[in-house]
Amino acid sequence: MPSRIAIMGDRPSVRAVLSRARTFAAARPAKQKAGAAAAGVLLASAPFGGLAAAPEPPPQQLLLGQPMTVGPFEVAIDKVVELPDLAPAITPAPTQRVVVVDAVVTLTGDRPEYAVTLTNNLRVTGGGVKTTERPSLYVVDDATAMSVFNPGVSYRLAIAFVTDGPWQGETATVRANQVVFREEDRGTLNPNAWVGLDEIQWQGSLPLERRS
Amino acid sequence: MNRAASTAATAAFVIAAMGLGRLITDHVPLEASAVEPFTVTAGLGQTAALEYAEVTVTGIRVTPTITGNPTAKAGGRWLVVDTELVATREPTLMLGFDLVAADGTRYAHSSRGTDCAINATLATGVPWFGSFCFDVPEAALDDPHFLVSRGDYAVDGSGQRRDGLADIDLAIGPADVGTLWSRTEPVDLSPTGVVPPAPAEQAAP
Amino acid sequence: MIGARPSRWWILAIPFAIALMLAAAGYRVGTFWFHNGQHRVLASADAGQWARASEDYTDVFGDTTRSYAVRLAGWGHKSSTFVNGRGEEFALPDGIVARTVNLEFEAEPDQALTSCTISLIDAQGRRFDNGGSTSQVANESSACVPEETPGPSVAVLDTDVRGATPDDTQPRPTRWATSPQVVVPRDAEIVEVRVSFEHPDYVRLMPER
Repeated sequence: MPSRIAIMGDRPSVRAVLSRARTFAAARPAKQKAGAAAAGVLLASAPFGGLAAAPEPPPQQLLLGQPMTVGPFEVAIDKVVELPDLAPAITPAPTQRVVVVDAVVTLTGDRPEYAVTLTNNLRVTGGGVKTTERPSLYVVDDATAMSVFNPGVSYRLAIAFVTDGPWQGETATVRANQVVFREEDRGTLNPNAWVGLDEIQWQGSLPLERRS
Repeated sequence: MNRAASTAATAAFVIAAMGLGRLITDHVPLEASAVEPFTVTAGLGQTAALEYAEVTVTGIRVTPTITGNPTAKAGGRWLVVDTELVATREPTLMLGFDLVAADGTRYAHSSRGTDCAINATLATGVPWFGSFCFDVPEAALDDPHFLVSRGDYAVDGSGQRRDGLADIDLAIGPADVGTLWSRTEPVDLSPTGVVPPAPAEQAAP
Repeated sequence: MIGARPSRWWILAIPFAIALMLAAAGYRVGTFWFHNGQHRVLASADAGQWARASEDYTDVFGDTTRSYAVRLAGWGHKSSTFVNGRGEEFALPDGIVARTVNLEFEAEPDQALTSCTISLIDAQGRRFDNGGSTSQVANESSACVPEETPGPSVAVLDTDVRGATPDDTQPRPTRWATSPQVVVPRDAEIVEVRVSFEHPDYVRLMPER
């Protein structure tokens, strides 16, 4: 009868341990053996990239005049302009500038939406200066601030970012996050909401016009 | 009875109860009954009497421009709904003011125009006057209804659940849509509050 | 025991169980109804008698108490215009008047008594307020304190000092009178006057019948 009690100085030999392990493995049912084999194959593929996550699709190319969908909005950028101010809507400090993405925006959904669904998911970078994260929206025709959109109505909007100083370079990179409709949300009890993901769906390097 | 028969009877009872539960869930419209508001309908110029307030639409105007400082230009057209509200029981705050088109699409009111009403704080028994401004596409002008309640629409009407709601037919028929859409005259709004608007500014379509 | 009849005492427990179930299911009634309206009488008095109230409330520093006494001294006149705190006048529609309520108060100078609401209840159970509203005819914010010496307000910032007289004013006297207006229908029969600071508490003053 094999003794189970390890007495000091009386260690089982390596061979004995291996032999016990082999007997144990051989005695496992067939399903467990198959699972173990699959796990082994997967691990073995690691050096060949088997354990890496699937790569994300690259962002779509954004061009002037080309409509892009950001959640329920359709946005077609006409031009990107740098201005000293956007009076009467925005009057920044003399050292600051206003970078305006001039675009036609239409709500194509079937219910009203708040402007934040759009402004939370648009960003402008590349000028070497600090830029406000979330732009303000103004109707170009009358300089009123836009906060809620109705379905089926189009506006020419000034999507305005305030920057800390003059833009460096001739182009501005405009990015739009992917925005998806989430029907149910366990966390925040906020159903039927458009949610911006941390992934960039549209990206483009657009020419910047300076108007001073 | 013996053990086997007793077990069989219990099992049959449990299955029958589950079946009945399933039948109830499938055929009783729980979703609808849980959230429907109590709707009172009225036409243009008529008063809808809710338990907590009286709602009257005194006029509607359509224009591309609302004058003021600043002037506000519509992306589509402004549909301005002039209303008179009275709280009948106690001081009441009203937050639900929506336009619903014939196809069921809901439109939100805007604060871009000077003196466009946003909500209504009512003192008991004292009439309140305000104009709600909707920036809408042409499709919205076909038989729209103005829905008024205490609660905001929130998510799928949850703010109006089981509360009184006034449904006002704005009396715009398909034949009127083209005429209204082509109007160009700017519209001037009276400030919201207890002061009645000057009669000259009220205009029926 | 073989053959013993099962106990039937559980039948007696059913009504209690149902009552407990309904009470437990009503766990939101406190938050959404009781604390959202005037539902608890702190003190009550007949015409001319003093009602003494001690109201627990919470400011930025924690729990505290507000103690005061109030008396319905009588009615003033009925006016066809309402005058707000800035002196602006609003004409009232036919059948509606601004009714003046004469109140007398007693309180220590360190009690926070600004921002009260005066309510009139009529025989039909309707409620008419001045205070606690942004309506142009109900937005009085100092119905319970003298205009020149309003005394402390509730501390809301941690830079505030609880019970401190505001700068540029004298301490409030320990006894004073106010005459706020409340807009009511001309023919309304007022059966109750209420003074309140925070839901659900209020002081009830009964007018002469």
